[in-house]
Amino acid sequence: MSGRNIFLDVDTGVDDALALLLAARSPQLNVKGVTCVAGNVPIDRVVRNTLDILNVADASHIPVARGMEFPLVEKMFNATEIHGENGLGGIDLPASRSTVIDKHAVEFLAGEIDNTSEKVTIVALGPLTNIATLFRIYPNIVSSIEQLVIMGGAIGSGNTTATAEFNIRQDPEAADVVFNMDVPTLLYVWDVFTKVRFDKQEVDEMIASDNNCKSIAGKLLLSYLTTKKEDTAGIGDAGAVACLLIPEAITTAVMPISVELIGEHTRGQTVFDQRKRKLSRLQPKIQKSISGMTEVVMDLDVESFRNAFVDNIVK
Amino acid sequence: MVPKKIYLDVDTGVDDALALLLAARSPDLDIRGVTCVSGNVPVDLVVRNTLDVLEVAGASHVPVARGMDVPLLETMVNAAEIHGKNGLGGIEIAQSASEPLSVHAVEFLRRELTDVSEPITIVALGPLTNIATLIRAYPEVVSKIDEIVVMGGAIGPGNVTPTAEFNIRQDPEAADIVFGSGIPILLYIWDVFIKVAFVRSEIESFSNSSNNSVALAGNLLMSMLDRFGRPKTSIGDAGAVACILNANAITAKKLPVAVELSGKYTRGQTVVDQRPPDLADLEEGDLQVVMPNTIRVVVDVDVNGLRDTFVEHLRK
Amino acid sequence: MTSVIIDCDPGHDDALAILLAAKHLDVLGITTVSGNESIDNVTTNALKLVEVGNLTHIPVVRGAEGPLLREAVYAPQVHGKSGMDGAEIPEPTTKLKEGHAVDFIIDTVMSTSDVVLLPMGPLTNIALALRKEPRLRDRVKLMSIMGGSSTNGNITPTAEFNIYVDAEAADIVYQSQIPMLMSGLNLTRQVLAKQEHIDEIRAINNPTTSVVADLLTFYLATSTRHSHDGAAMHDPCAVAAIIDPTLIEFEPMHVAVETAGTHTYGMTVCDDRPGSVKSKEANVEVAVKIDSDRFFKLLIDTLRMY
Repeated sequence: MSGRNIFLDVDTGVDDALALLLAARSPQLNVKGVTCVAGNVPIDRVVRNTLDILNVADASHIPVARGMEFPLVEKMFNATEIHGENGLGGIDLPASRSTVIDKHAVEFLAGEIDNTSEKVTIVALGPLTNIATLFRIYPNIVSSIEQLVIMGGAIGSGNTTATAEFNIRQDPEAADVVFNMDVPTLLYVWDVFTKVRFDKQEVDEMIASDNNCKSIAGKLLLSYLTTKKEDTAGIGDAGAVACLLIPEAITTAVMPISVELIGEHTRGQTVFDQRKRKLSRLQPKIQKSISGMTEVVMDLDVESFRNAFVDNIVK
Repeated sequence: MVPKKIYLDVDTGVDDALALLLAARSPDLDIRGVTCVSGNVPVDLVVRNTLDVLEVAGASHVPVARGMDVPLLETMVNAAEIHGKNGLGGIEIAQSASEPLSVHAVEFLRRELTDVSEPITIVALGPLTNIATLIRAYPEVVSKIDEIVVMGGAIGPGNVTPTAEFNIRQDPEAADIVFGSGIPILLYIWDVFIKVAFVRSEIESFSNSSNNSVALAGNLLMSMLDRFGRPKTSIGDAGAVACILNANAITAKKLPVAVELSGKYTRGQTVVDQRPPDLADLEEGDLQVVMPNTIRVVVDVDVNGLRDTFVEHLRK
Repeated sequence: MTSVIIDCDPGHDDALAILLAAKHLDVLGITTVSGNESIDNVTTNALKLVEVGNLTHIPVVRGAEGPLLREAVYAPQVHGKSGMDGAEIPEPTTKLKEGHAVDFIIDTVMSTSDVVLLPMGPLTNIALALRKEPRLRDRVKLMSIMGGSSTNGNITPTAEFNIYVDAEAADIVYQSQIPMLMSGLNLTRQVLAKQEHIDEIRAINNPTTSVVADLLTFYLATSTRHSHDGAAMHDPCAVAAIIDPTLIEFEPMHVAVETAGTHTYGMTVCDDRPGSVKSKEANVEVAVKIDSDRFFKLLIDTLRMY
């Protein structure tokens, strides 16, 4: 069985690393390339971490491209308090001998997507700077994208601010570009992102495994336990990848979406319309309507996701 | 129990009418005055409806004052599609012979608050235009306000826009002033507002009551059922009054709350920071916008408790 | 000779700017951006111009189809449906250079020293290039832009068209820390082409100047219809600033682009308060005064060379 062709766009990142391990090892997926974007950590760190984690997964043949160093307009603030200064929770991986390819990530994606006759899936796990730039320079490419899976946004509370999730808040303009493009998106929101978790005992068992990927995954999860001072560690971005492996285990809803750019307290908020009852005739007099549309992962079967993660990273 | 002295600020309004009936009939509350603000319907209609409803409840001695006719800055939209053109769901009631006071609502409140010896509670059930103007024009009376029970805002989706509830969205600047005033606030949000509801059979029995107030309440609720074709309908603002009568029936949390004024899609949103303290502290610098005001938000209600309170006090 | 890349959306005044530049500067390329009209129209117009001016050695590269975030806004009331109405110009046969304007700008600047950028349309291409290749910041010698205003606007009371069409892109460019000369409306409205200028140009009587005279006639008509006293030579000012800086007086100011205002979206907020009150370092040399007579002499003498 030849896998589903996917490209990953990452800001590795502890949970991006988990996602890369999962994607690289899953037989159902064929990772055709990984593009790097600045986000959790600066771009060069992202590149280094990505190369090294792919090496752990025996996947050094996968081309890695360096992308946008800064958000479109917002200033870069990174998230080293979560991911550590090195972006991998302080874990040292053996240095991969591979290097990043010559092309800019945007060129790479444009070239690769144009080349195939089949449509591709892109899984975006960091700020959407690369994707937005790709769409702005090569707008015709959207017709070749089967699905864009995005880790980002929140229906309820945010994380970086009360109302916004990190990836969107780090580059709200890029998110605005992406959600206004006519491309099918699946949004893995913060609300479900936090649900797929392992406890300390399970993490210790992973670390003790003979399987290198599983062991490294365990160490990455352990770093979360330490940094976040919680009893359980979540697989984060890896859950977005798992959506492709076990789509039957998610519940989704299609709804209007826009990104708030100018709100004082709400810049970077993903604004959805979930109203059951609308005072719809009033709104046009006072406010613009939400312009985009997306499918949102509303819920997932936690056990299935946990199993999909541990089962596939050892394959 | 000495009846609690309260002032109501209303934009009557079907559910404001229910709130007026409840407050007027309850022996535990002593309405010292009702101020009117433009909101669901324009202020003159609010005044008319308020006088007429108070008459039905046998409370025509309660002073009624006409207040602000437009929001501080926002465009007035009104909500006739919810409350009907007459603001009472199309229900006709006898015109009261009472007149509103000759003074403006804000002036009325100033005088009252100056004269009272103990701080009192204001129950604000419409856009906060009157209250904000009072606070800004007469800051010296603010210490005489014990608490403002506000019907407004939402943690989940809004109603008039995807992110904002009507009262706050109709006058976001006023809400910002009130929430930042330092006056203790109990925020009765849209999320709980819609939960306290009655079904058709219950409403029919209200309408058939020999008690005028109960019957009017029934007719008002029936008009909402018929207008929207739903199996049940909420008592709305009356729930905020019920909270005062039955404080055990609510769960309230003190949370940081801000009103978004400049968002393109989020203007009028009540931004509530519900993050666990460790996340809220994590990022320093101008990314984290400071939210200096914490207010008590009613995050959950004992639905049956409040329904019972409504019925029990209305019948008295 | 100074090497330049012209980023434009022809455009009547873009046309004059290109013809002015080509005789005094080494134009490495002309990149087009959606602005006065759609990307397709402005690109066709750019190709027409290089043919009209016998400048087909200059590569023309197609750029951004629309602003970064906003819906495109065009200016047919000024420039007509084609974006360059008024003259009979045959459909161009010259081919575009392959590739995207953003990459052309990046590749050229990274491989050539001391390139000056001449952006005279919305700043979408420039912003994308700066973001895609952050090293451009240290390699671009100077930018001379036509955009913004230190007084009032044109498309809105506060905003000039190029900045208004893509304020987010402008914000990226103004914060880039690249040395910048800004010819805004406060300057360009000092150089108004009138009938006597058109007559003088037509009298030169070469194939290029008859087209120019026809274009200017159209542009003058739309300008006067909008209550202006003449046809403002917006884009050529940005070029003149490079050819002969002595024509223009500049003042250093801090300039920020407003992207969130309801009434002020696209405004270039110029801090021209007295020196002791300024709070931020100047990031732009704002053009404030131009010698109009000497400018027109330069322009018309240049047209004689065609």
